[in-house]
Amino acid sequence: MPLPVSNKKAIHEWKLYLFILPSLIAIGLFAYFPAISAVYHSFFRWSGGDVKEFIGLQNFVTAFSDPVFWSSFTVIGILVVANIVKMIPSITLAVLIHRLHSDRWQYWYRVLVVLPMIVPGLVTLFIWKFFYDPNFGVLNMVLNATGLKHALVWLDGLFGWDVFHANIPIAWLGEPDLIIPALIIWGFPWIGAVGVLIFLAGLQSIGTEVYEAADLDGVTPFQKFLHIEFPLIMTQIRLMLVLMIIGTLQGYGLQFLLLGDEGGPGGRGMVPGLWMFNRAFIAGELGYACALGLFLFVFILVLTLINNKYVRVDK
Amino acid sequence: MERTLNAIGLGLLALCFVIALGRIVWKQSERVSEDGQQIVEIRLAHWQLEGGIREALDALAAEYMKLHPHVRISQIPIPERIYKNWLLTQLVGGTAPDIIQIGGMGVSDERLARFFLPLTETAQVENPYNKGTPLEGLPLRDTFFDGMMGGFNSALLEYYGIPLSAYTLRVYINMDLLREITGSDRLPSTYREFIDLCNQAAAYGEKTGQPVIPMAGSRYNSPILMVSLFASQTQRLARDLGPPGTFQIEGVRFSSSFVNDEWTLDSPQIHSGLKIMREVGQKMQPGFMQVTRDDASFYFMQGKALMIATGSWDSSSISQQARFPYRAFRIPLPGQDDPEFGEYVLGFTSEAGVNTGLALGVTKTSKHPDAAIDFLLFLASQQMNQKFTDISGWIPSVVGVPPSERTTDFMILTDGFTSGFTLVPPGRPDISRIVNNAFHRLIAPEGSVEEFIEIIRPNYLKAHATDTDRNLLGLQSALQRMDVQMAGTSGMVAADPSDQAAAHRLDMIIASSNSQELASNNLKFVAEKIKRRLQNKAD
Repeated sequence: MPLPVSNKKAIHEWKLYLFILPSLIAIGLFAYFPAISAVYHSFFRWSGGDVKEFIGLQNFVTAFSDPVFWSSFTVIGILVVANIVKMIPSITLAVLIHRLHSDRWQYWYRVLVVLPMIVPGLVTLFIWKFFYDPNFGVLNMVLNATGLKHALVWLDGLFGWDVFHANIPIAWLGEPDLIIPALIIWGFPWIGAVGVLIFLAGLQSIGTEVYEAADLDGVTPFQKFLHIEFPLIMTQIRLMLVLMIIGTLQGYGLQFLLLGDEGGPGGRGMVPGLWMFNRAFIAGELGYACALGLFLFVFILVLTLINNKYVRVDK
Repeated sequence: MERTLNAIGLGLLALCFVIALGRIVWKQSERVSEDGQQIVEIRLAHWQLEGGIREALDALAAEYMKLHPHVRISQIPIPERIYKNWLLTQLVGGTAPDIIQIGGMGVSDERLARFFLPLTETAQVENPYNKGTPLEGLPLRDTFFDGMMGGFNSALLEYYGIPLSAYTLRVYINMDLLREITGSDRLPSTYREFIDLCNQAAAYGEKTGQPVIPMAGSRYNSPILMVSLFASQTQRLARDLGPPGTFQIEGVRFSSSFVNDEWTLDSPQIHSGLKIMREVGQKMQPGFMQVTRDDASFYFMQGKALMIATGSWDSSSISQQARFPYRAFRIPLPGQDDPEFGEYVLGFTSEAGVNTGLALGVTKTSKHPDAAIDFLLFLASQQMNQKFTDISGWIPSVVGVPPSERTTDFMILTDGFTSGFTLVPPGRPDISRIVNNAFHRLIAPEGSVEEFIEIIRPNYLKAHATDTDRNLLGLQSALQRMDVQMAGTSGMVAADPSDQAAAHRLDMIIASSNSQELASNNLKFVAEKIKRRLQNKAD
């Protein structure tokens, strides 16, 4: 912990504060100014530019009764839950790498995990879009070649889903009921390089003596994970949870690229960010989009507070 | 060791600084031409990423820069997918390029009036670059085959763009595949023949084990065909309900006729239109609404699809990339003798009303508006339009410019009737969303026209309400802006009653303002009526 500095000394060394001034100016200009501007514009009927009309809380009132906006939170809720499950492969891989005895192999596995990071995210999205192509996509080809398509059609007949048909290619992004599954399947096997590295960093801070003691007690590998590793990487898990919740709530690039600005058939892929984008750039209601943004901000803040309060770290 | 590393680091830093400084000095020196004149930089942004256009504009820019060594023209091609967002942020941020392609794509009347320079005065004088041609002495607007209507805004009564080309809609067909499937080169000329051909293509795919998509569909391409087919079913209705002399239902009349129950979602014409859309939608590959324009073009150019519906603007790209001979034919609408869809049809849609396109406007934030306008005049000269047409393979916009051989199938066909209307007219984002979100039920094998109507029914009127309110606000803002112009021009006329140009301009503003006022009142009336109906429904 840094030692407290007396006011006298702080004033005497005022020149040192000049060093943080450029960073402060940059943060103020690029992070705080747009946010404050969004708060200001949310009280206006504004379609961009200098002409705007003050309408008080009207945008917020409209947002409260906007069915598309509120139903988009259901989609987000499902995606957040799915993303929590999708963290498991990253944690598992981090634990497996951590348990490798050879440092050299550990190094190579880390390299292999990081390597896909050089592929731009947009390219990955385009590749997945191609995977989902009903006629020439890899996913349908695999399902057809393995006979899994027949199983899906059989299950469809059993449960009456009405989405898988024998002689019709599966329209993963063209059939409303398949849109959310497609958004969840995206990124399989869900190994995020950043996640693996963060979990690995947490795992590597665990002392070897803990493992030695566990070995003496005859603890199984799974028990080691459950009682040693998992509790000790909770700080990292909490960080990843916060980042994931913020990213899922704010993000709409995936939905925009795969489904377009209207959220795809039935609007099933509509998420709050995409609706905000739609109102701003398709309907030209930038003031209203700012109000929606503030709602999102409040949601993210509340979820982060809940996360910080209830996902405890006991060391 | 540490000192050496520090020295290397410092050296690298110094090197980077020197390189950056050198780049700045070099860039600065580029701003002065050889004869010591300050370089004028003109930036031109457009969304035409199709083959041939960028090359054509580069060639024309090079010609211009030869004539004017102190001008630099740079092109900024923006993908269509992000053009609206890019444009809005550039315009609002005040960093827009000097010249921007206008005409839809986020350039509303309001934005046009706020961010673009009116080019009416330019349109009324001679284009100096036409000197020595048969167009010498003619005002600029008269040098275009449509009187430069492609750059005219009828709501604002001003010219805002100078058009370089024109577009027509066609169905492209792979001739090799057609021969393989039918054994002949005969193109379908009616809707029935077209559907038969689609069925033959599907059967051929099944027989050979090599699936053939009869019609490549996508979010972009499918509406081109489907909307035309739907509109064929509302031709008679539009003729009967449209204001005298127009034979069309558009703008305010679209909403007013709907809210007055002159047509409803249950009208037989609407049902028939949806039925024909469903039929043709089933000739496209399953899930086509998730497919983008590029993917659909890929299917066609890879020989996986027999046909694709698109505009003349894609002819260059297709000719550059397709490894097979292709032709393009008119969208095959049903004739009056069609047993199923003939009842409400008048006939083929005439392209006589096709206006010029690829209109380029000049932004108010341009630092060199005169140079930008001069460059546009250069592009619009007969000689340069010829060059543009030859390189791009697009349809010419200037009188007397012969089309290139590649554009034969795309030339404007003037015979026929006016088009009907559709469920989603332009400038209605909420109606568009409601209809598009339910569209999958219209084309799905297990879906139906009735199901589609029932899905959109609860929200279609609500979407009319929000879109109408938005359009009303836009119209009122435009009127307020016009009041300022009117006051200013009145002042000019009062100060100098002999100023004929100002007097003429005042007349035009008053005429425009009156027509806008009328449109605004009509729209207000429609908006209130929609709200009353929604209220009644809620009660």
